[in-house]
This record gives sequence, C-alpha cells and structure tokens, in this order.
Amino acid sequence: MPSKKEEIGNLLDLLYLEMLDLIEQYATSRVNIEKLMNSGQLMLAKTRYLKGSQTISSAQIPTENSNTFNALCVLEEQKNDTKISSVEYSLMRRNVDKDKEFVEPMHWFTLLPPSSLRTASDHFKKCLELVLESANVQRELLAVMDHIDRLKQHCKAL
Amino acid sequence: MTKISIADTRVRMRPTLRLLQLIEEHKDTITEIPENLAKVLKTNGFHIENSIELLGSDSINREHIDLKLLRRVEELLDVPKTNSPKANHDSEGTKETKPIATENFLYLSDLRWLKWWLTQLREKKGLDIFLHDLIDTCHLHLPMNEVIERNPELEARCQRLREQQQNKEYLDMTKNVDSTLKYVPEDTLAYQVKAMNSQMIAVLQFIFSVAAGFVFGFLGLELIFGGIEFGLRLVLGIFCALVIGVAEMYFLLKKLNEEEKAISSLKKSTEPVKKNEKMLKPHSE
Repeated sequence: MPSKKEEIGNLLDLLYLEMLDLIEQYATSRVNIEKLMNSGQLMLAKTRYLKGSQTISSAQIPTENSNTFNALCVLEEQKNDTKISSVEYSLMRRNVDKDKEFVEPMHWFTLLPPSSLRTASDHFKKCLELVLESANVQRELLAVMDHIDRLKQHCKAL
Repeated sequence: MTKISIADTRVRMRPTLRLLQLIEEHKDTITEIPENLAKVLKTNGFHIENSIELLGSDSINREHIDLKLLRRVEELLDVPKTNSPKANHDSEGTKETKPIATENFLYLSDLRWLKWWLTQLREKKGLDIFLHDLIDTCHLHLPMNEVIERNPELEARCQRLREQQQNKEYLDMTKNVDSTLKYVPEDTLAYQVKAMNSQMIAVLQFIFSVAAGFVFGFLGLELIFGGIEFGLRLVLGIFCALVIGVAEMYFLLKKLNEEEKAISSLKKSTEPVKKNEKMLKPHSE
C-alpha cells in the first residue's frame, strides 16, 4: 500500500511540525503569563505600599462563614472540530449583579479602589485568559503526541 | 541562583549530518532555500550555489493538517489506544546518531520548508524519505530559562556576615558556661555608673554655673552698687544667667556629641569577643 504509507508519512510530518509549533506557542504563552503575573504583583505591592499593608491583606478574603456568592468566571467546554483534540475550553465572564449573588471581588478590599489596584486586577484577569490559552495548547499538544504515537506504531507494523 | 525569563521562545533543532548530506545529494532540485538553513549548510562545509534564492523566515507558509484524513486513517488502522509511548521514546535515544558539532540550529520555518521540499522530492525522484524519519535522530532544544550565577563578591560578603552573626550567637549562648567569656565591659555595673556619672557631672556643672550667674546678677551687683530696685535686680540676674546658660549649653552639647562619637567608635573597634578569639575556635556549621 504505497499510497497509504505516503499518506501516513505525510500526516506524521505535519503532526511533528504541529507539535513543534505548539511547543513554541506554549512557551510564548508561559512567558506572557510570567510577565503579566510579575507586573500584577508589582502593582499589588504598590497599592499595599501606598495604602498600608492592612488595607489589602488576606484577612479580607471571605471565609467559610461569609455570605455565599457565585463565581464570576466559568469554564465552558466546547466542541471544536478544527482542533486536533476536538475540545476547546473557553472562559465565560458574568457581569456583577448583587441580586443574583454575583459580587465584585474588589469591594472586599476597598469600596474606592486606587488605580494601581485596578491595574493589578486587570493584569490578573488577562493572566487567567492566558492560563486558559496555555492549557488549551497543552491539550492540543498531548493530543498531537498521542496521534504521533499511534501512527508511528502502525508505521512499524506496516 | 536566579532564573530569568525566556527571551527566545523558538524551538531549535540541531540537525544531524545525515540530514545535511541528504540536502547536499539532492541539491539540484532546490530552487530556493531558507536563509537560516543556508547558513547552517555553509558553516558545515557544504557548498550552496549562488543561483539558489534565499528565503526569509516569514515567507514559508504553514500547512494545515487534514483532520478528516487523520481521523479516517486512524479509524482504518484501529490501533489500540493502550500503547506504551514511554518505550517508544526510549528506543529513540539508543539509535541516536552522532550530531554535528557546531552550534547551528534549525528553526520551525526551516523544518516547514524541508517538509515541502521532501514532498517534492518524493514526487519527482520517487525517494522514500519522510521528515519524521530525519528529525527522529535530531536533538531538540526546547526554550530554557537562562540561569544567572550570583555575584561571587556578594556571596563572599554574605558568607562573612553570616559567620560573624553565628559567632556572636554562639558566644551569647555559651556565655554562662565559660567564665572567661563573661567579660563584656558594657555589661558591668561600674561601666554604666561611670558613663552615667560623667554625664551627670556635666549637667550639674551647667546648673551650678547658671545659678552662679543668677546670683551674681541678683546679689553681686546689689552689693557693688547698692540701692537697685528689686525688679531690675531680677532682670539683671536672669540676663546674666541667660548669657552664661547659652555659652554653657554650647559647650555641653559639644562635649556630649564628642562623647557619643567616642562611644560609637569604641563599640566598633573593641569587640569584646575579639579578646577571647585566640583561645576559641570560631563556631562554624
């Protein structure tokens, strides 16, 4: 079956290239996460420096005894046939709505957040998206590697 | 040891000699070649014709995987999913061929071009070579964090300070055990009384001279001239006391300042520990 072998070889080549490409993407998104996290933390530190360390601290994070609230971000699984792993995760953000128990997390710390705190939270929000992206890339990478393994095994058998 | 963030996120691959030789063998079919690949070939002693066009890394298109084909093929093959990928990877390591010595790397765009070129080669010459066979034996260099070594000067200083601190702690700890270590001038009562005395004397001197100045103005001038009004005497007394007080204050402050300097320099120069250091082996971890 020469045509079949040709096809498999071609596919393997493409999969290898895709794998390398995904590795690059993964590394890039990791570096971006690192940068964003760093600047976010720096902004948080700046806020604490300006406002005193008591205003922004872990003591203000709700505990088990606090009122319940719903998550503002939810992960959703979507079918996507253009992807190799055929599944893609995406982030769903909800708007703040007190009646439906969607609370603005910034208000735990201060009702009038300074601009540095806002920037920090923006950075962290972007970071969350990047983490999701890198997780998607990772899934793809695993799927590609799985395909490569299977095709290779068959190549040997052929 | 501190890691810095990755500057170059590109995946690099060190080509084997076999791969380069293959390109050399079939270079008559090449009409254009990526710039980087050409450089790699040149540094490894392969000749490239000038007529071959050099490609920038951006001009190579990315081919998309035919997913339908992939799924169909896999369905046809129906390979059981429970294979052992670990074993596969191990076998790759054993058949590794000798990589070329120079630090030249192929980037992803070069590999894309190679794939395209090999497809052409298969069509034209009927060769049975695939890219995945070729790059199986290549070294893959993943993007890594660069590690910065600590400055040795800083390290030495930190080490010295740590030792000093530990020595001090150790001496504090063993003070009760060995009576020879007990002598610390700042701890004795005499030292403290002495220090207090010298300061108290200075203050008392100040008070006495101010009082004497007042007495001179209040009584002395009355005795000399006589018949001075009470209010004027009071004013004269206070005035004299004030003049003497200001002058005395100046000297007092000067003296106290000098004393403080002397004490702080004393502390720096005479570490009580030093006297006993000859007998003691410094504490070290």
